[in-house]
Amino acid sequence: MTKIKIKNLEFKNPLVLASGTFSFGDKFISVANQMGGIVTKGITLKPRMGNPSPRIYETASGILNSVGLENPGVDKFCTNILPELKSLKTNLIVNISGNSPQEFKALAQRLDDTEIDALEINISCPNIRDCNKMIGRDPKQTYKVVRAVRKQTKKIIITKLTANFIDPLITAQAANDAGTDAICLINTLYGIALDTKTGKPFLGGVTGGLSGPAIKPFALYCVWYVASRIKLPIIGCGGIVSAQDVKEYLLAGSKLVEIGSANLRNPYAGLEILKELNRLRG
Amino acid sequence: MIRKQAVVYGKEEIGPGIYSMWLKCPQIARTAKPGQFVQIAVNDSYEPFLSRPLSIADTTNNTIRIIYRVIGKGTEILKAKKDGETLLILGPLGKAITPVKNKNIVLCAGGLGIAPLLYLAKNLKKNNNLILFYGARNESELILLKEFKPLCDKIFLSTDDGSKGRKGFVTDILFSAHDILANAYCLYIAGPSEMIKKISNYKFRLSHLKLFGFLEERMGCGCGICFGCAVKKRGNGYLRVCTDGPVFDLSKVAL
Repeated sequence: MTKIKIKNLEFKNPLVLASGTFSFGDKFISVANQMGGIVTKGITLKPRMGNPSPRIYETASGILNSVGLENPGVDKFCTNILPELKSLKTNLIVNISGNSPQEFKALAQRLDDTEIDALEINISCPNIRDCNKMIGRDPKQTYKVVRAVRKQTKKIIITKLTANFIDPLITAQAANDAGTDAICLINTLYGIALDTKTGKPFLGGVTGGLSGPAIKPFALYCVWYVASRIKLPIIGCGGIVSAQDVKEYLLAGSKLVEIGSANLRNPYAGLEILKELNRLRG
Repeated sequence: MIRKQAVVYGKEEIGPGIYSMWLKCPQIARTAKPGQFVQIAVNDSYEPFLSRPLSIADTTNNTIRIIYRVIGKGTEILKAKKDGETLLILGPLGKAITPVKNKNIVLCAGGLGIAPLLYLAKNLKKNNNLILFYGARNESELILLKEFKPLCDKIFLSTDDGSKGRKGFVTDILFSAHDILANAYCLYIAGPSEMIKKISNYKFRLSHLKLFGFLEERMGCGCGICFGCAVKKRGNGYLRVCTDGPVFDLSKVAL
């Protein structure tokens, strides 16, 4: 399979395991090693407990999750988890999440002298305290965050964008102007499930992020729409469960794809999709 | 842990809407231990999307047994499976229960919680004395009794409607069995979360008695990569039901 490059970073195939669906890259290493890359669970400046249970609600052909960025914080990630990832034979992309340009700056600074391959700026996770304040819904904030990270690091920067209540072309442009090397489209969509017995929200985090095959046509549309209007490498993400889906995303203009929810159904999904992709390509 | 096609056989309805099924998958069967579970992809389509976590209720050299109540899309599909058809299963998952010797062990089951206790009882029987407290909605839902009889020294039953055993909840008969609990090393509890919570918070006034609960939570991956099935630790933070459990020392979790 032909190698793919984002700047000077080579990917041995277009498949990347999406943030939040494959731990920190410390599990199923034999799967991760076959992939083009693995994105860690979102890392924040301080440790985060995550949301109360239930955190998962199954929907028609998809999942709503409100995990809420459970992670040990960047310091513990660097001291306890990162050393375990030294033997990974794939690109290690660290997903960073914060509430302000300053927090993102500090995260980028802390990670800059580590051996990770790239940063994925997460300004699009719906599982934050006030989801209306999502940075990715504001092009000015998006610019400031990407700029703050860009000034801190020479590592490859991927900005993961949202399509929740914002035209992603506008934020893609902002991220591009601020110096991102690539964008990832899309993060999960806002969602809620209500318990008709109690009248209350089902998820412990009240609202959640919708993912899985249910969102694929919309996510694919976002990639197609943005790819035809801006010259920036795109990582397509949303509902990929087969090699056929991967091919569609590549046709729509993605350079790489992220596989997310499929890993929850089957931790070997990435491997199976890769095998099928190789077979289709002969 | 491995993901393999397993062949279905021996499906039977053992209670109203409650099914027992054997799955032939030698690699999983030979490594499985009490306390563990499997994730079953009920079909090849993406509806339902997630796999179904089910306790291992028993094993032979080549097969594992699962027991389920038909309650939704996933279990409806399982119910329709015929002998010889296959299912993709991932397992064994979760932590195995550490075996003990020469102890008096009390098992407490509510409803389908009886299923994982069968596998545990079969493993503990040889070296320990077992006593079972078991409650269900009514007599027809008291399943697996014939299989438990040779494994337990005593069995105490309750039903919500009084059709068999004491009328009421299993917790009523458990909490009144002070002498038995005073001589017991530990208590394994499996059943509805409210029942486990009630027992976990009960003042037994028996400081030696260890309580272990089979916890359930909405699960994503079942193998520790999605952080979806959280249970609150005593103190700060969460544990994962799939990889830190599903059987927990109840002194370590806040229910």
